[in-house]
Amino acid sequence: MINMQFESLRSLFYMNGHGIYVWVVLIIFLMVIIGLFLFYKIKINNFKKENNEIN
Amino acid sequence: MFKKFFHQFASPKTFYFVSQKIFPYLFWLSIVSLIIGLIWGILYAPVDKVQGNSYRIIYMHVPASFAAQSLYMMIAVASFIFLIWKVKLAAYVVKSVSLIGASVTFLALISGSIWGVPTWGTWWQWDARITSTLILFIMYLGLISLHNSFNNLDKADKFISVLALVGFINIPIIKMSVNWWSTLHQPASITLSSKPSIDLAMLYPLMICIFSFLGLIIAIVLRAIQYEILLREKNKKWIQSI
Amino acid sequence: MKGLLQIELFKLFKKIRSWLGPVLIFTLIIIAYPLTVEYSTSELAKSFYSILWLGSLMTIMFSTEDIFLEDYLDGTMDQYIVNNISLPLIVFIKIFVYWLLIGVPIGILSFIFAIAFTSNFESSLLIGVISFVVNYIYFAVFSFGNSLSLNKGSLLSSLVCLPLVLPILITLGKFITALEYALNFYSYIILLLGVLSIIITIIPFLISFILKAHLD
Repeated sequence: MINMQFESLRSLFYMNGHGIYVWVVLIIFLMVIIGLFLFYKIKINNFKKENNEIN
Repeated sequence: MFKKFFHQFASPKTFYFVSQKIFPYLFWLSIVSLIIGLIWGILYAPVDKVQGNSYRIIYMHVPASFAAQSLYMMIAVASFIFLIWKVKLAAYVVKSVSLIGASVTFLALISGSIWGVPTWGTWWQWDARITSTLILFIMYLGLISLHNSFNNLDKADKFISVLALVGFINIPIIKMSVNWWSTLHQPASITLSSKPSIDLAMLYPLMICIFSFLGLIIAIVLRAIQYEILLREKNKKWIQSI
Repeated sequence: MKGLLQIELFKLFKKIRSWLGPVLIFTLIIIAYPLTVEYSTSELAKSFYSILWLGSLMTIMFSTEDIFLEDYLDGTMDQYIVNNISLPLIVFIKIFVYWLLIGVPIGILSFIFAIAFTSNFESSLLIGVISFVVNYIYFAVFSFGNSLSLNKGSLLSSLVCLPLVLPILITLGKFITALEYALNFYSYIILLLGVLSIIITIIPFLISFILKAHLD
């Protein structure tokens, strides 16, 4: 059975002092992915809306 | 037969509808495997003896770096196809991928910079690999700004394709920089020709993260190319019927 | 070819500001550098090389701003194409003439200033020779950038081309380190000569392709 490396939520959050770096990078990572995805989704939806209005 | 299979994708219309079909599968498969890879890496992979838990940034930094360089290769190949065979879809690819490439390279730089604080005690180091990644980021910005400076899109496509091919020399410099110059950056842990120096328990989630992130970025690239097709071909009948 | 070379040489020579100005600016940068810091002579030499390479880079970047602009605007470029004169040859001659009138003086000045700052004749001679090679590379790369952004100003061309010259700067830095510590610096010289040979052959064709696209 694979064991989790952290015994508690607190130790997961702090990661022996390195937690802040890991979690900040993870947040930025997710923001970039979500940002890129939403950027094109919104652009395409707006285009289709304008296209429908014209037609 | 293969030629015919590939040639049909030179048509923006074919590409649009095929990528519409592929996108959901690629996107959701990549998201699920990326979540698995990140959870495995951040929660279950063993602690590094030297770097402690800060090494877990590797599961985000390395996929971003890999994707940044892969996207530039994609731009270079698309530029080559556009300049030689005048396939206009290739020009759409070059334009669409530039912005995504710049974002991913920015992510690689930021994550590497933050990783440097607990590891090297510094936010930034002017060593060859980091500097080459910064150069790559500036190249992406150059492509975006050059394209936006022209009103004539045909000229803009031609010029950024030429620039992209010329900048392609930067990619082998990034790859070889760790070998040419002695640097603070660790040498490549994963090479094609020898056993990896990273432990397998850390390697498996890393490989999952790398490939799933690449898959996710390709899904986003498909979306970006679809948008570019809609913009450029908006006067065509098939667009108006969407 | 001799006739074209003479014409381009005469055209640039007539515009004294275009070739003497950059040389004077380069001289000013190198002369002003020790005046801005209170270093002893030995410490001045450490940063001298960085100032030298950056000074020549910036000087050449701004001196190539209108390398093709005048011919593009007054229709000379169209005439070259209509009369079937080889555009890559024209481009090569233009870059060569700019290098002759601006790059070579900067190279000679680099040698003179290197002796003044380091008092070492052999390394200064090497610096001068490398400076000739590197200046040609800079001219070619920035001419490429200016051809891409013809009529759009030099800011765009610098953004576009600066990433291409940064690896050259890194190589120059490593070359200076190898020279200072008497290590094998020949590999860096050969690397720069290799880059130069590629650039001499490829850049004129690239630029002529871009100029033809502008004129279409």
